[in-house]
Amino acid sequence: MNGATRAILIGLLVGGIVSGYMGYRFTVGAVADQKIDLGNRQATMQVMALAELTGAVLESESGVLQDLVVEWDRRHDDVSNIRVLRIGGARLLASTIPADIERGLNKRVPREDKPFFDTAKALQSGHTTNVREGGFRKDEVVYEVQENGHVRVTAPYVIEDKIKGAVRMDVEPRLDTQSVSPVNALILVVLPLFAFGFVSLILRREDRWIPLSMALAVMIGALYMFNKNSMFSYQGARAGYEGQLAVYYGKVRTDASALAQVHTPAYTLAETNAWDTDEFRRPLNLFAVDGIVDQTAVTKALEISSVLLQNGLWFASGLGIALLGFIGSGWAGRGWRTLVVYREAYSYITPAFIGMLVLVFFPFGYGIILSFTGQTLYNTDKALWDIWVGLENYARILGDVGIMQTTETGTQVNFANFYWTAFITVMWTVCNVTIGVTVGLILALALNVKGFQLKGIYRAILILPWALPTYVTALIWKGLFHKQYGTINYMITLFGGEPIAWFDGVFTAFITGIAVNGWLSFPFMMVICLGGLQSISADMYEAAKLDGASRFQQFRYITLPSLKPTLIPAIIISVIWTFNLFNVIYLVSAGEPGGANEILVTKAYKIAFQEYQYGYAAAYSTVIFFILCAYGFFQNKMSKATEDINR
Amino acid sequence: MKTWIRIALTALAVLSLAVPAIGQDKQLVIWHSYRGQEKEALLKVVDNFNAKVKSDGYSVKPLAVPYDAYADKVTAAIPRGKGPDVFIFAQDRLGGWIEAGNTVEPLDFFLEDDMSDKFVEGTMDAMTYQDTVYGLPFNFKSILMIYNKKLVQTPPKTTGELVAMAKKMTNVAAGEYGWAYSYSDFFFHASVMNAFGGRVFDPGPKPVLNLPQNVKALETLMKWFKTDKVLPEEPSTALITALFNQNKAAIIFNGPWFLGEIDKSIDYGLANLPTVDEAGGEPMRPWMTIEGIYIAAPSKHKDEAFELVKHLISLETAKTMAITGRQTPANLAVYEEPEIKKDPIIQALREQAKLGVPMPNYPEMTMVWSPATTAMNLIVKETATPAQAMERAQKEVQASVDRLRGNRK
Repeated sequence: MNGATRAILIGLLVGGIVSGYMGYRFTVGAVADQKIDLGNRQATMQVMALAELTGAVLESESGVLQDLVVEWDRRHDDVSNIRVLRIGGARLLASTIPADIERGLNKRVPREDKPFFDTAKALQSGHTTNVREGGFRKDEVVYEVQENGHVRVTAPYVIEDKIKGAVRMDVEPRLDTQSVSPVNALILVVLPLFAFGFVSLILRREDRWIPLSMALAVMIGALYMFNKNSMFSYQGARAGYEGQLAVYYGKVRTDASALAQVHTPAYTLAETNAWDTDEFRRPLNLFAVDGIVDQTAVTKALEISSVLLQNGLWFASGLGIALLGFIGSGWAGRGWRTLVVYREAYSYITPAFIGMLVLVFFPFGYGIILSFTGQTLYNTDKALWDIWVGLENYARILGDVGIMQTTETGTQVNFANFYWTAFITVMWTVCNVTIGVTVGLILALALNVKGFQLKGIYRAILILPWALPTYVTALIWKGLFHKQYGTINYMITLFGGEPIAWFDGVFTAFITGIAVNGWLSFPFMMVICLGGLQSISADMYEAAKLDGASRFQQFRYITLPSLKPTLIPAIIISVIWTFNLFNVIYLVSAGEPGGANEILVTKAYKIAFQEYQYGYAAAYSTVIFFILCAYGFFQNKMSKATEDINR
Repeated sequence: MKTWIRIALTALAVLSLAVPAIGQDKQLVIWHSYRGQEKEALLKVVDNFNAKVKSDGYSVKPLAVPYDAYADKVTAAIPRGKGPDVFIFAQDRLGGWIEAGNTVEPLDFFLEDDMSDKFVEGTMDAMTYQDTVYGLPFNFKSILMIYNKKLVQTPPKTTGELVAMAKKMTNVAAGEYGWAYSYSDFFFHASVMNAFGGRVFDPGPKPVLNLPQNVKALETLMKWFKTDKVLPEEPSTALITALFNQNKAAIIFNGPWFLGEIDKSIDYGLANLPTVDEAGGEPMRPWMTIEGIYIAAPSKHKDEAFELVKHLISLETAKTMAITGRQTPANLAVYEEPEIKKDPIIQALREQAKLGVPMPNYPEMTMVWSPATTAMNLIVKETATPAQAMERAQKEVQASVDRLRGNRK
């Protein structure tokens, strides 16, 4: 067996184990969720039925609620700990718990029942919110799994169309799901190994790529079968459960109508299945009131609920194939050998690497994942894959090409558009860096003159703008630009000009930002240039002078080329800083007028923290990252080219 | 050798910090962002409480958090169980915290039914979100009329009187105005908007910026500004302060936070905002910001925390906060106390609060500010008519709200 074959066999083994294990875990998890779902639906039917009767009894005042509750408890051996709470006055109206009865009903509940009260209250206000907003956002039935596996379910009861309190009970799940066998996963690991081992015996070749592609084909085939099988073990028995639930519903309904006749004779149950609902009390309609299962509806519901597992299996398969490719192609082996050979070096960077991992790569990766979801303030409690929207955010950002918009006041630029903001950001960066470099270089040249008196004092003064906190500088500048009382307008009027409303025009407001940031950024460039200038040997100038070079020629052919190695990294850094410079825009013009002077980062901040659209803001930030990334590559290429000329 | 000494000292320092934490009583933490006299008053109140509950085996530690970082710290720390047990903040972020979850504890369970009668009108509404009470009101602030007694003998009661008075005193060339306030700031403008029965949200909350009442209010503002010419251009807070301190603005609208900035040489008086003739004589109703006391949802000492809350809303506390802290407490009974009765500033604020409207505490409110500010700027620059500008702002806010709720089932 040669090295390539061995690598491929290891790849098959590792890939098979990883995707087999993950696929198995996903399937088990999905089946467990299905089990929870079944338990919840059983509990929902119970609690919704009793809540309906409770409302009827309390509304008609025809019977004693406590009798109804006790009788309900007696008839259903899977139900225990029933309690009915009225929100007004926090009164416990009925209970089957001995301690409650001992304390006496119709009394304010004790402190330890605050969570129950809060839940009831949340159901009440949740329903109101759903109605007001015209949507379904807040739960109207809550489930809590107890230590003994019983489901504690709480649902509101309604009197005269208003939620007045809640019914709570513990329900023991009676329907069970089939367990998932790990044999499938084992076959997935073993089968490709043998298949490939057998084939490689026949196929004795030194070439790596043909066996690898064969191994990939075998692996893909095995994964396909494995995934089919896993999906089947999830979906297969579902139709059966639906029938069992329908039978269970029939029993609850029979009991309910019997009890209704005793306790509220005037009340008749509606001829619809209104008890098998989702968490918003919306009927699922998977089976009718007479227990006949609607097969099309069940199939559809099953398809929707399978999507998550399907995606999970795809992901596991992809990972397995990638691992096989990585190991089988020999890259993994090479990587491992480097790691072993340079183990000392790697152990030195480990602490820094772990720091980077936690502080940089994890938030970064999380941000990227977030950008594919529709997370907003209202759904932060949901799992990310439940609010997955794929590329929708990116499509919304990049696909919005309506830069011009027509309104009743005429056609104008839509300042909220991404491309406008990107344009402003680029203009902002280019202007600022140009100004910073030019001013910085000129000042550095001035300070570098030999025999210049009081050089140290000038240098200290010129660095001051940099030393002051950005906040202070930005706010002072904002004051300087005030229309009526600002110093700048005062100077303009001194020379006979008209005062300018700086923050009203797109261009003038842009100028304010440039002025402030120009002021803030030149000291950095000046210091960098000064350092570069001082490292240029005076001999070169002397030689140039002897050759008859003019001052400009000296600057053009000695100073500039010698400054390049110091200046270019500084420019790269400065571009990235300026591109993402939040403070100045935020504090000085705040993106006014009408968001026209917003740059990409301030816009992303606004989306995240004023509009609470976290997913969209994450996508926005990712786009900014890619723009800077592209710039970085481009700049790297450029600067390398210049370095080559220098050599 | 020196290194060893340094290590030993560091170890000692670490130990001495760690030791007091061992074997101590239950300690509750309350966050606030007060400074100066407000802080002094709160510390006094907390000391009183600590003396009272010492025998119950717990104490309260106040922690001042800088205002700029406050809201973000609450958002980040409390849901992860790292925050205080009790915290004080205005109502504007309340809705967002409740929607984010595990931040603010609902209080209905603790409350008696007649609770809202004990507080200044409207303050309890600010603490209520989706029909559930999440905090108890501590103090309130709103804008009111501040006038220069040298220039104005009796403050105007109606906008008619105000405009007539202001016209006489305005001399644009000399930079003198009879009347000045940050009218282009939506927060200040809200008092006029409310006089016309305008509003930002209908229940739901459904944004209704383009209501005819809102447009009417803006048209009236533009009449004062452009036709009557009694208001200065670009009314920034710095400008208002400068004008008032130089005797160049006789009447301004501003809040109690402004009183500290008034020059000592200025003799000023306080009065209610005027009624608006154009709105059929309805009074201007400023937006009130109400600071509430909240219990952090992950707190492990909620019962003790509620004891502290009860102490903070008590008459005794209200008195200290008013006299030492110069606050206007939400506790109603305090305004019957003799020392408070003769305090003209607090009484003026209390009178104005009778006409106040709590600023909405919906999370959707943060989406209103930016479009509303843009609209106000367009209107006062006459780049758009009030109707056009508000229509555009409405569209923008509605779009943001839809997107916020877009991804629910």
